[in-house]
Amino acid sequence: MQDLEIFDYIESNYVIHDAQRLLLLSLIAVASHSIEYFKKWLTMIDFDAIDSGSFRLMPLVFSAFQTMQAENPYHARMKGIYRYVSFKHALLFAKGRMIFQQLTQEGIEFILFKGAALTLKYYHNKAVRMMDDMDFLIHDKDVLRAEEILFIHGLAYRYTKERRLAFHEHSLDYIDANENGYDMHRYALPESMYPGVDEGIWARSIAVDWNGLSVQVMSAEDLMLTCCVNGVRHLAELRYDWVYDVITIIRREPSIAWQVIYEEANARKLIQPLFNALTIIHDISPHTVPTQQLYTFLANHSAYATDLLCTLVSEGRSHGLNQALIQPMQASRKQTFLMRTIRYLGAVNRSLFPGQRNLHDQQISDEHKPHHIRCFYDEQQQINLLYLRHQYLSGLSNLFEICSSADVSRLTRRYPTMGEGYVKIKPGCLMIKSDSTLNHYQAKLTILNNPRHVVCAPGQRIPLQLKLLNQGSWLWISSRHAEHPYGVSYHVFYQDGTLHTWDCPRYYFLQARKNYVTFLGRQPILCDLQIEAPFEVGHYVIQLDVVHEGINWYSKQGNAFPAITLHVEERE
Amino acid sequence: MFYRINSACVVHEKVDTETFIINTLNGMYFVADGYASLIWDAIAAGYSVEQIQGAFHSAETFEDHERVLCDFFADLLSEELVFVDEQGTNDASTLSITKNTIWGIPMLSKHDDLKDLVALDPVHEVNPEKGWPFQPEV
Repeated sequence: MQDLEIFDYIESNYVIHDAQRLLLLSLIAVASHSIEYFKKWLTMIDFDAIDSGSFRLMPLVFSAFQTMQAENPYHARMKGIYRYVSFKHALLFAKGRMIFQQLTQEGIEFILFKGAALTLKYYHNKAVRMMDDMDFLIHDKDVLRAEEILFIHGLAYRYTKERRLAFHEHSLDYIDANENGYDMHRYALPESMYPGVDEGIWARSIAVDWNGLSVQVMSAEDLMLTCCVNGVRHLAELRYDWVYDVITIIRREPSIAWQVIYEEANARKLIQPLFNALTIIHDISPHTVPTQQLYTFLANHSAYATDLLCTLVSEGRSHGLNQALIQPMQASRKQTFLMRTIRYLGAVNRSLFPGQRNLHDQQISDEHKPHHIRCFYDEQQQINLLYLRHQYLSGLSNLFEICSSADVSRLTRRYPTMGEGYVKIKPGCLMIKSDSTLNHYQAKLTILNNPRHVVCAPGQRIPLQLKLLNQGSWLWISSRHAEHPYGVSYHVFYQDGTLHTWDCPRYYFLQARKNYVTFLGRQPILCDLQIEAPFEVGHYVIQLDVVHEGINWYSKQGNAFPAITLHVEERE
Repeated sequence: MFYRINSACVVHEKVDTETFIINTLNGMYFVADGYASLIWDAIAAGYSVEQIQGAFHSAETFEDHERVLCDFFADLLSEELVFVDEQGTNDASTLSITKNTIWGIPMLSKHDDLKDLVALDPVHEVNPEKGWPFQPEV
């Protein structure tokens, strides 16, 4: 696409680990290759420590490779997982069919989506696509009538009354005595909940046969969108099994109306998560979501394309941009690189996206952004090339394991201190650092948006904007091998100082990215953290904290962080 | 005489040499392995009791096969996995069973505590040689 010639290539922002990648490839590759991928996966994994995404793919994997019993040391356990899912889903679908049959008889419209819809429409075998419950969308006016039917079938609300009051807007979870779960959604996605938002989904839904019962399921396009958005919602703990769902949909459908997906995502302001998801799928299966599709996406969403360019440039991730277009700016020493970039991208923006907002109107700043070094590897998986801002060269010994400091010194002398570009590395000279304990755990945390005293409902979520500063003498580093990410979190105490909950959700501010070393020195970074109020009425203290996951809490290293007093009161 | 699978509430699937059978009404889970799986296949394919008995007799699979098969059919009936169809007819071809020296007599392995079954971690809390729902041997 001529207009988007500034993008040399588009890469996934996020990490799917090597073993996870192999597992996905074993499921999507042609037969001869898939067996090789599967065998290689077997050599890499510790089955006892299998991650949740891989676990969810096990029934599919067993189904695909059940004849390889002799080569698979985990065959029996994988078969057991298959049996387990087969058993659970047999009960789930049997009860579900009775419920949906009665909803149909009572004239209550519903649309199945997520696992149940994917099973009925694409997988057909109820044992292969793992799911926790059956999700269905319902009109708001029918919620109470539908709930009565669920009660008749022996279901009860899964959680406490307080939680129901806090989360009823999006969906309501029900279970029966056998723990079969049914999730009744007022809205398809929690990111977009307002009257009429799901009208397109209702209009596009299609009928499928469920052993003689006709039920509506989301269209392929809406299933893809919901898979993608749900899949990348928690990127710091990416569970990647949804990638196989989307690839399956694309492969099974004769054609996909991409424009419908784009328009729906645009209306819901979900362009960024959709693009993130598509880049991940592209990374795993470039034939399924080709580069051209990503270019088309960007051409359809010029404002997002502009934001993406700004982010790439400001975070030092511009290696994927056309160097012939970027380098003239780097050659000039009269202005800072950033200012030249703004000027240049402003011109690009005007030519690419006439009528759209100009890049001059946007803030391109590397303030509050993590730094990035892109690593390239040779066939032996040794680093042989970096793309980086030249100013980082003098700090390479802090960022990598160094085999030869003389080689690194030569690099520092050979390149200018300003600008950015590719730097050749002698293979074996640099290695990705493994996680290690820091010598100094010092940080400062400031709350930017909130009062220190909050009155809220049980379970209410309170968004906080935080500014975090690393005051230690060591860099915060994240890479593909990072098993101990850095995050901000909080602890909940009762008013008298006794502990209510120590481990609460984290916001990992230094996102590990595939092929990158990401780091923060002594410059502040902005973080968004959501506090979830306890479900019991009372007075609490929310104590903010910083965590080096699995290694240290900063508060235990003498750091004092802000606290918020929380008054949780009953709401109707 | 014929037995028919109680399809209204029974889900079954064959994997390797075993068939797992689920009664969705009461949450009972059964594993039929080896000869038991072959018998289940034969019932599903519409063979009569006499044909199944004859096939096992010809193959000389195990001693006292008539009584063993009767016991197995009785288990299937008592668990309501099959029902008797006196009027049934069979157009299927001759049933043939091959003797397997490793397999024991046909038995229905029953797992009836649904809550425990579901609560069992299928990766860690299982017999590594057999997988869920078989628990580690103490």
